[in-house]
Amino acid sequence: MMEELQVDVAVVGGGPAGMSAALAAERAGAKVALIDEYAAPGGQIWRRRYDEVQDAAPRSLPRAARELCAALSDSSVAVLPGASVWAAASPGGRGLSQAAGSASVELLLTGGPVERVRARAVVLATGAYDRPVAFPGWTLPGVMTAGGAQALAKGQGVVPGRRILLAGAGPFLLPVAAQLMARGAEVVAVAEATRRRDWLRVGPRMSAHPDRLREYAGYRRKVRRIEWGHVLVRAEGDARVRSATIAECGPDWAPTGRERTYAVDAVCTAYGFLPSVDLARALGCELRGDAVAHDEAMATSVPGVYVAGEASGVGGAELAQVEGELAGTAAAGGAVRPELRDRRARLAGFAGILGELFDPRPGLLSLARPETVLCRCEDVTQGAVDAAVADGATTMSALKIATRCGQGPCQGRTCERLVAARLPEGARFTGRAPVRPIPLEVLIKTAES
Amino acid sequence: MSSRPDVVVVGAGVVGAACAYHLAVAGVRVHLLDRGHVASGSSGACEGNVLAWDKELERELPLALRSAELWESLAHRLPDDFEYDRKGSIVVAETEQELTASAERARVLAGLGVPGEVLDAHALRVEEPHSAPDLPGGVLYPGDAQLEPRLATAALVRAAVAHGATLSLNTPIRAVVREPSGRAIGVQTATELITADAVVVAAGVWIKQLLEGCGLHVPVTPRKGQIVVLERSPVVFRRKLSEAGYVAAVEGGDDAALAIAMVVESTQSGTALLGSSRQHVGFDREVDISVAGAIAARAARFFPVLNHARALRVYAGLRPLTPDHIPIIGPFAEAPNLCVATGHEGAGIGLAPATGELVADWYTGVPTQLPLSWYSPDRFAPVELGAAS
Repeated sequence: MMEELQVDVAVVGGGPAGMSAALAAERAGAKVALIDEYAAPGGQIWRRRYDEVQDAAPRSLPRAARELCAALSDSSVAVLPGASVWAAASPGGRGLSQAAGSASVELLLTGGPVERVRARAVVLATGAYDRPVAFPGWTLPGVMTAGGAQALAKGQGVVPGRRILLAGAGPFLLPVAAQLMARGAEVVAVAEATRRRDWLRVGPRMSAHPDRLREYAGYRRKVRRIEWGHVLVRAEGDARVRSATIAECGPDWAPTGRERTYAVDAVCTAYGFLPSVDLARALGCELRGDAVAHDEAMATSVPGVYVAGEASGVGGAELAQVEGELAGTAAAGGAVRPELRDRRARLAGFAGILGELFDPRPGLLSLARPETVLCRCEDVTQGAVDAAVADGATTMSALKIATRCGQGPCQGRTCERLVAARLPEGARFTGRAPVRPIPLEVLIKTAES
Repeated sequence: MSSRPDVVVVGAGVVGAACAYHLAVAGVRVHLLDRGHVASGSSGACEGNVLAWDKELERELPLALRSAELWESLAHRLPDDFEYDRKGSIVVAETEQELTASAERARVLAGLGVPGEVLDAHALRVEEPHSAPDLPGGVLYPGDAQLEPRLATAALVRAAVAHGATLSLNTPIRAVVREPSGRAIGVQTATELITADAVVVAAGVWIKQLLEGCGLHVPVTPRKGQIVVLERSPVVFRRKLSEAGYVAAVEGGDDAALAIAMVVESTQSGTALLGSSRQHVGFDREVDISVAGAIAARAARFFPVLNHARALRVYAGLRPLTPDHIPIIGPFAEAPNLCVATGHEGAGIGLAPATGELVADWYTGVPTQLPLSWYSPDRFAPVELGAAS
C-alpha cells in the first residue's frame, strides 16, 4: 500500500512562493502539505548551508527568509522535505488515468515516506532553473551555470574554481560574482551582454524601485571587472576548462568584435532563468510563453491547480511571495486582500523591465557550431539536429525520434530550447509522467494500489 | 508533384517505408506521404522486435522468416545505421509447466526452420545472470534480432528517396479516390489530387477510417501498448527477453481487459526497455501510470535487480490488430490497384521488410515469395461480396 496523505491544499516547491502559499492557505483555514525536493524549505534563492538544514530560522539567510522559515516551523503545515512529485493528475486535466472520477488532485511522490498526496487544490511553486546557452566548450568540466555555482557556494560553502569568468546578462551575475569572491575565488571578468546605455533607456521606470537599485549598487561596488557589451564565445581545455574567450557583441548579442581570452579554471553563465513547468504540463495546464498561464488569482487553466513564483513567470523572490500568498489563499477558498493584487502588479512591472533588458536575444544562438552538443544527455550535436530538420522534421517529436535528443535523464529540460531554436517555429517537447526519473519500486506500487 | 508517380504510398511508418523502399529499388516511381513525420505513429512508439518464436506458424512465421533475412541484409546494405543486433532472444518460463510447453514449441519451430536451444535453470542463469533464482529455464532462439525502430524507419525512407522516391510529410490524406469501376485514381490531399497507377495504404491503426470513406472495409482496431524506458545503468541484459506467456497475452482477449507480459531488453544506447501491455482503449495514446507500474512489476518478478533500476520515461503506442491476428497485405478484388499493408499488431517492425517486398512484387508482377492470398483484405469480406469477386 502507498503511504498517503489527504489535505485541502498541497503546495509543490518550498521556495519563497511555496512557503508563502502554504502559510496563506493555512491562515485561510486549510489543512496544508508543502512538498520540496531539498532537505529543508527555502528554495534555490534561500538555499540553506548543509549544517543549517534542521534550523527553524537559519542564520545564513536574509531576514525575510528567516521569518518565513520560522513561521513555517510554527505552523501546522505538514512539510515533506526531500520528496519529488513525479506524477500528478487532476479531475479536470490530464494525468494518471486512475484519478478519473476522483474529485481531488493527486500527486505521486518519491524520496520521502509519503508516496501519495490527495488535495482539493494544488499550488505549483516549482521555481525556475538556469537557462542553458550552448557555445563551443559549454559541456567541458568546470563550465557551469551561475545557479549551479551558487548552489555549491550557498549549500556547501565551496567554489567551482580559483579563477572564474562569469558571463551572461542581468542582475543575477553580480550577486553570484560577489558570493564567489567572498569565498576566496578570483573573478577574472564578468561579461555582461547588455551595454550601459541599454540600462539608461529603462532608467526612468527603474527609479520606481529604489530598493532594487540600492541592492544592485552594493554588488556593483564589490564587483568591478565588468565587460559591458560582451558575450562568452567559447571555453577551451582538454580534461577541463583552461581558457574562456569573450567578444564584443552587437545589439542582438551576436559576437561582432574583438576577442579577449582569459586563463580560467571555471566558467559560469547566467542568461536568466526558465520556469519549471514539467508538472504543470503533465497536468495539462496551458502555458503562456515560457511560464504557466494564470489569472489574477493565480489559477491555471486546470481547475484546482494554481501557480505561484517563477513557474508563473520569472520575477524574483519578493514577487514570488506575493504570488504565493495570492495562490495559497485562493486555493484554500479564502478572500484575497485587494492591495495584494496591486502589489503583485507593481512587482510584476519591475520584472517586466528586467525582461525587456535581459531576455536572451537571438544572437546567442549563433554561438554554437555544427559540432557543438545541444542535447548533452544523448550527445546530439547541432549538426545532427539540423540534418534531421533538413530531412523533413518539423516538430519536436520528429526531432526526438530522428536524433534521440531530449530522451536522456534530464528529460529534455536542458536541450529543449536549444533544439527548438533549430526549427522554424518555437516548439516544446510533450510533458508527461514521470516528470522525474523514479525508482522502479515506486512505479510498481502504482499498480498494487 | 513534379511528375506523376507510379505508386502513391500512404503512411511513413515502418511498413509504408518498407513498401516505398522495395518499390523504389525495383525502379518504380514512388511518392510517399505521411500526415505527420517519419515514424510518428506506432513505429515511433514500439520496441524494435525481429522475432520468429512468437509468430502464428502457418501464415505469419514465413513472413517473419523472410523479414529476418531482409533485415539482416538491410543492416549491411542501407547507409544509415539502425542499431541492428542479432542478439538472440530467450523465452523465459515461469513454471515447469511453461518450460515443458516452451520446449515443445521449440521442437515444432525447429522443424520449421527456427533453431532453438532449451535452457535449464542453470543455463538460463549463465545466459542472464539477473534471472530470478526460482525460474526453471527457458528457450534461447539465437536468430532473433533487435533494432532501433525509429532509426530503421528513417533509414528505409532515406534509402527509398536515394532510389528516386519522393516524400511529402505533414500531408494528411482526405480520401482515397476511386473510379466508378472501383479502381483507385489516387489520393486527395488538402490541396491536390495526386493520381497514380496504384495506391498502397499503410496507415496502420488509422486505416479503417481512411478506407471507409471510399467504401472499403479493413477490420483493424487499435490496441494500446506501453513501454517503460529505464535510465542508463550498468545492468545489461544480453538477449531480448520475453516470458513464455507473451503469446497468450498477445493472442488472448480481444476485449477491454488489460494483458501484461514481460519483455525486457537492453538497447545500444545504454537504456533498457520494459514491456509489454495490451489494452483496447480506442485511439487513446495517453500514458497510464498504473499500467506502467504493472509492466514494471512483471519485469522485476523475472529480474529482481530491476527493483533498483530507475524509470525515465513511459510511452504508449497503438498496435493495429486484426480479427485473426494475421497482417492484411494485398489488393482488394473490387479495387485491384488499391493495396493495403497493415494489421501487423505488435510485429510491424519484424514483418515490415517482407511486407514491402510482397507489395513491390505484387505491383511489378514478379512472382511473390509467399502467396498474397494468405494476407488478402478480402478474407474479411461478407460472403456474398467474396463470391462476387
